[in-house]
Amino acid sequence: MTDTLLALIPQYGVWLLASVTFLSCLAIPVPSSILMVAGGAFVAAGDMSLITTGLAAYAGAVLGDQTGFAIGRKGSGLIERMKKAGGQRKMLFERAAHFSDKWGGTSVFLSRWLLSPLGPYVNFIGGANGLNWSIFTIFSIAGEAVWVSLYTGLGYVFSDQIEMVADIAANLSGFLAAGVVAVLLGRMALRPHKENNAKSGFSRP
Amino acid sequence: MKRLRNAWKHRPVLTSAFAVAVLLTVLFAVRSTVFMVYWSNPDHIDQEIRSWMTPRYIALSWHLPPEVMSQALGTEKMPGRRQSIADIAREQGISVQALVANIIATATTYRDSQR
Repeated sequence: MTDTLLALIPQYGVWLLASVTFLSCLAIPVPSSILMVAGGAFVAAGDMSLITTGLAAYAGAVLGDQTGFAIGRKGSGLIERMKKAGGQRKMLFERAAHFSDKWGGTSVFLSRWLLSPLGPYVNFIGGANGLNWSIFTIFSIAGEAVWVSLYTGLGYVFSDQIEMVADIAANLSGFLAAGVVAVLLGRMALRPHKENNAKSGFSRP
Repeated sequence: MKRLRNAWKHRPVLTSAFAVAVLLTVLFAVRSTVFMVYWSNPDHIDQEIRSWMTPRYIALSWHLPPEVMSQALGTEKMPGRRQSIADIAREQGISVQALVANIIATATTYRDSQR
């Protein structure tokens, strides 16, 4: 599929890049990093213009974030109902809400580019958890600016080696994202077990 | 180790998710290393020519001047933007492989002449 999409870049570059970055913010598996890197390389080769390439990828990404956040918001009623049920679940959601109050902006920003595989889930969870929309938007537009400039910039600079750059970048961000998830889950799973966990409320690690 | 066993006993789902995340982290670390080793090999410096590439892009990637590229394509000057070599091969009624072979042969001759 990647080669087919790459073949479409010179012809439909702008629309293709915007659609791909849009879809990738909604957890749809499209090869957005290689396409952005290729976009940068086509700019370097003189086949595409820098401004339209960058703006197309950026617009798609920002719109995708907003859509993901809105989808999450639609699901927030479900979470409210689960919270009312009380018990362990309520505690889990309170922890999540607490985490999102404290780290919302940072996690939105970092999951745009450094931990990009986590991006779409942060959109859904942020929306569902009632993360403030303006905070989400500010960090989303800042983070996507880094993401788009980083990947198209890599493509521009390493235009003779885009497969290499895309391979390494995708695996490194996969490594970082999986690592962060492992640390967070590990802290939750390995914290000392208390017999009457539900009563003790939520204890900070 | 005891903590891990305890966690497994009391929070099996969370602990399995943790184990999967650790496995994925290791997998991505290994893949990153493999790619870096592969690409640091000088034999892999020329990016393989693929049908989606445009002549301008190949010229850039292989460090060929435009006139060498157009010679390889058998055209007077560089084709317009937005044409991949698949398009060009179709126009000329030849296979992409034949066109790629042509480009590689011309590039080799050019590089030898530069030595």
